[in-house]
Order: sequence, then C-alpha cells, then structure tokens
Amino acid sequence: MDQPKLKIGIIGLGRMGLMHAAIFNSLPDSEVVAVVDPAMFPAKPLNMLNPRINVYKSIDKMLKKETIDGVLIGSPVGYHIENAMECIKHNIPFLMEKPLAVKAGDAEKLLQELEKRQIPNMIGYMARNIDSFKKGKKIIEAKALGNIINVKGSVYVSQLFKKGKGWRYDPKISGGGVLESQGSHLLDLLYWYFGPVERVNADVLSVYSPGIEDFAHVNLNFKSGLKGWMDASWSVRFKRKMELRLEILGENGNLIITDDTVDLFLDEAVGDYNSGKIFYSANDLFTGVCIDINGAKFTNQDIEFINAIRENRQSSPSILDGFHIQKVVDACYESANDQGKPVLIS
Amino acid sequence: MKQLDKILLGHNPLFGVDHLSQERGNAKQQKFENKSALVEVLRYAHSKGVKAMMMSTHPRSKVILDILSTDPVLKDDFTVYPLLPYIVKYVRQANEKGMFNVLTDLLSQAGAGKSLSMMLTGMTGLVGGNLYKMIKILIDIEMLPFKGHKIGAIFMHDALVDLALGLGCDEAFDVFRDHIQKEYGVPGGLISKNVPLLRNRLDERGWDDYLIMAAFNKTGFYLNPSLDATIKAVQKPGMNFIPMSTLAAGAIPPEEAFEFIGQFPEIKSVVVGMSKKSHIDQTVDLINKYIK
Repeated sequence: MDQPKLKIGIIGLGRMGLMHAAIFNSLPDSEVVAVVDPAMFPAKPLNMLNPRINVYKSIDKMLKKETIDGVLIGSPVGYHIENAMECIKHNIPFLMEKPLAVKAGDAEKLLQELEKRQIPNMIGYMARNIDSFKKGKKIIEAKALGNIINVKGSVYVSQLFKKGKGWRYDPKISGGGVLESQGSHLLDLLYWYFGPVERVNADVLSVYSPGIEDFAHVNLNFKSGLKGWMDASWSVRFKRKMELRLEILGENGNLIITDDTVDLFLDEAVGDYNSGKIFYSANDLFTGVCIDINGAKFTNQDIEFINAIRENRQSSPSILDGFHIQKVVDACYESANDQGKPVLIS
Repeated sequence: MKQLDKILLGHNPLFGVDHLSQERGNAKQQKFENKSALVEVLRYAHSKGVKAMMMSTHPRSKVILDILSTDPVLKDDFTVYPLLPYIVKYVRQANEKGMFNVLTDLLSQAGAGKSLSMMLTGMTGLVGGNLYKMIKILIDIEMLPFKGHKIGAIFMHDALVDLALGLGCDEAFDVFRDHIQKEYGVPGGLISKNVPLLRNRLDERGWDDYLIMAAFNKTGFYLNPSLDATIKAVQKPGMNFIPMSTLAAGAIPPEEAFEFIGQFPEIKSVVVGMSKKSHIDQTVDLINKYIK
C-alpha cells in the first residue's frame, strides 16, 4: 500500500450505518476509526467486539479526538443537513444516506456551502452500482436504441400491509412514503440515464398510514423532451426484496432492465451491440468484490466515495444530484396534493 | 467433525427465493403456499434418500416443521439444519422501529411463553451491554421453533457473519460456535459471501475443523472476491465446506455443476434447492455420481 488507509467516521449506527461501517472497515484503502451515536446500542457492543473503533456521542467530540478523512452520514433524515454542515466546517468529505432532507428547501444552505468549497460529497442512491443498471447505462450511452421514445419504470416491494410504526411512517420525519423511500432510487436511475426532470404530475394513494403514500404513479417530462412514467408501491405481495424495473423504448429497439437482468432487442446493430435479442443474466453480469456485506452495489458505492476522496473529485451521485431528486419528489407530492396538476421543477 | 448429511435440501425454492430472478422466486412462493405441495416434495425427496434440510425461521418454516413432526413417513427420519436468524424479518422490523426495539420486543416474546428466565437474562444483557449473554439468548430464542427436531448443525446467516467479519467483530464467531456446541451438541457453522476473507480470519484465531457454507460454482456466481481465490480457500485444509448455489441459480447445467464440485475431494456434503420430482431424481443421481 503506497498511501495510508483513509480513516472513516460513521455517524448513526442504524442498519445502513452498520453496513457501511463493515464495508469501509474492510476495503483495502480505508478503515473505520470512530462511530458517533447517542444511543448505547449497538455502539457499545461494537466497541466491545472491536476496541479499535472508538465511540462518541457527538460529531464534535469525534472530530476533536480523531483525524477523519471521510464521514458516512447514516443518521435519521432530519439530522442529515446539520451533520453535513458540520463535515463542511471541518473540510471533511461525506457520503450521506438518502434522502437528502425531509424537504429540498432544507438543503439549500448546504448546497450554497458546497458551491463555495470543493469537498467530495456523495448521496446514497445505490442503484447506480447494480451491475444490470450499470450495463443499461452503457447501452444508453452507446446510443444503441437510437432516439428514445419513452420510458417506464417501476419499483415494488412487500413491506407494508398494516399501519406502519416508527419514524419511517411519520411524514414529518421521513418526508413521505414509498415515493421518498424506494421511488427515489428509481428517480435517480431515470435522472442518471436521461438527465433532469422538468415537470411531473403525480397521483398517490394512502391505504395503511395517513399522510404516507403506499402507492404512487408519476408522469415525468424530462428537460430533454423525453416523456415517461413511473409506478411505485411497498404494499404489493410476493416481492421479498425491492424490485426495480426500467423499460425503455427507442426507435431502434427496446431495453428492459431489472435488478438481475438486461434484456436488449435491436433492429439494427450499433457498435458492440448486435441486432436481435441480447440477454444478460445475473450470472453474466456478476462481478466479485473485495467484501460483500449486503450486495456488491454497496461495496461499489463505498469504493466510489473512497476514490473520490483520493482523487479530490465529485462522486456519483453527488449531493447536488440528490438535491434534484429531492425536488422531483417534493414536486410529486405537491402535484398529488393538487389533484395531479403539473408541477415544474426549478 | 462428525459426518454431516450428504445432501441438504435447500429451503429457498420452497420459500420463494430465486437468486437468478426475483420473478421466478415469486412464482414458487405462490406454488408452495399450498401445504400439500410441500408434503409431496418433502416425501419424494425423502424416498430418494434426501433426509435433511436447511431451514431459517422464515414464516413458512413453521409449516414445514409441523409437517416434519407429524407426517408418518418423515417423523423422526429427517434432520434439520437451522439457519439463524431469519434476517429479512428483522430488517423489516428494524426499519419500522429501530434495532433496539426489535431486540427488546423479541426478548419480550420469549417472556410471553415459558421462557421468562430467558427474557430476563436477555434484557440484562441488552441493557448492561453484556453482549455475549445477549447473543446466546437470541440464539436460544431463534432455536425455540426447532425444539424436538433432529438437528445436524446450526448456521449463522451470512448477513450477520459478513457484517461481523467486516466490522472486525470476530470474537462473535467464537461465542456462536461455542454456545451451539455446548447447548445443542452440534457444530455451529458460518455462512458467508466472503469465504477467503473469513477463512483467513478464522485461521488467525486458531480455528480448526470448522464448518462453512457458501456459494460455490464453476462460473464464480456469488463468489467474492473471485472464483480462483475461493477455490484456494476450499482446498486449504482445516475447513469442512458445504457448497450452495452450485447450479449458479440454474445457469449451469446440473451435470456440469456437480462434475465441478466433484473435483474437490474436500467437499462431502452439498445443499441444493429442489422443488420438482424430476429435478430431485436428476440431482440426487448426479450428486451420488460425483461426490464420494
């Protein structure tokens, strides 16, 4: 190893915080030296089992005692901006779990600070690191489909079939329901593939928890002129894991991408892509990683963050990208509250 | 280590899990909502000499355990290999109410039954930070549904193994293995998606003759960091290795898949998901042909 390992601090030891801690602690180029969590559990047991990871009650205390090269923000959404501002104050790169904030407006001061100071930053939309969607991105970039006519996306998971308990089901804390929680991953993929969204009109349905949508359907108009729609629900059966799906129709063929597979059909060959049907299975797309904690997508996400710190560059997706997604989600809620009226995204 | 069953029936197809396609998994889950379909598969497998099964505490496992304890053919002649914990359930609950509340609720559930002392011990461990006590009590709670069943070995779920591995909490493995051996008299095995890394750590801790289960197949599907590194780890002495995902979720023809496994004399047992009679016939024949 030419350079010493980057020292990573973890803020918030929830499920995502723990998982990222495990990954960062095992990458060849990083190690976790500290965690910040006001609660005793699971921070104290972690420290008992691995005394090399120090536990702090606040970010301030951690930064006074430790030299930190990068931070993972895995605290509840309501603390994201405050935690990120603290990182900026100390010039520390940060990877923030999604979403950016309860409302996009809450993040404006953060964006202003990031404009002034070039600090590597990243938002945790991890679907960009799923092998199948990475492959899809290459196909789109190769313009294999020709002019794209429209796009349809869906995200489903079997998560909620009765009134939800806890912060995730309190709109004031979580910011919303399935659209914010899982739909935003799909919106990020669409944004990554096709650029910013200019206008939405949305319809939502709350079945189990007041103020929290269990179903959402959104018509999307991209700045490029492309049109599409997306559908999301966390209350459908037989979806053990979150299932993302994109169907893209182009003048030269069509492309269907799921979490596991890429299914391409082309009328005419383009570059490396032959005409006719090309199917990539999960086997074809799989690539091993140095450590897999909960799917290679998270490992690749954390490697991207570490590389961005090393190279002092922006990560993909950045906080600015997360800001756009947040504005799209907010616009969807605004539209749904106004009987599906189209809402422009600034 | 004592000889384990040669063929372990995997639970994934019966629970609706398919690593190649979530859609295929969904279809299987719907098929096995029907209890008689489960009985038929289990009895047929048994008639072909498959008398052992991996099983998590998935909600469907209760139905299977009921079948195993009441069916006149299967009763007393079927070994269960529990997989702890059923992680999806806890992840879902942790999403809703936080990890601490999931654990306290779980411990309270134990208290609602006959296990008040178990709950009290667990609560003390949780609040007082006595982690080892808590791990043991959580294992015992997870093992409650398997009481009265013949147990072959007990495995820790890869989600926990790999998390502990990543966090450098290797001591948790000692606690798990020792408690399983002491309390249940069977090997405490680990499932992992990172076999080479896990092997290095366990060997550093002085483990020997231990039990690992992990994906292993000729295309390298689900093998981290690579097929080559995993082959080296499998061939290194000191580990009892049970491969799973041998067909790479159906991508490798069965004959090719088991011929590959047969190249490793270290492998004495295999776990494989089978949900159709024709599939059971073919798989059992091939395993007997290639794994000696």
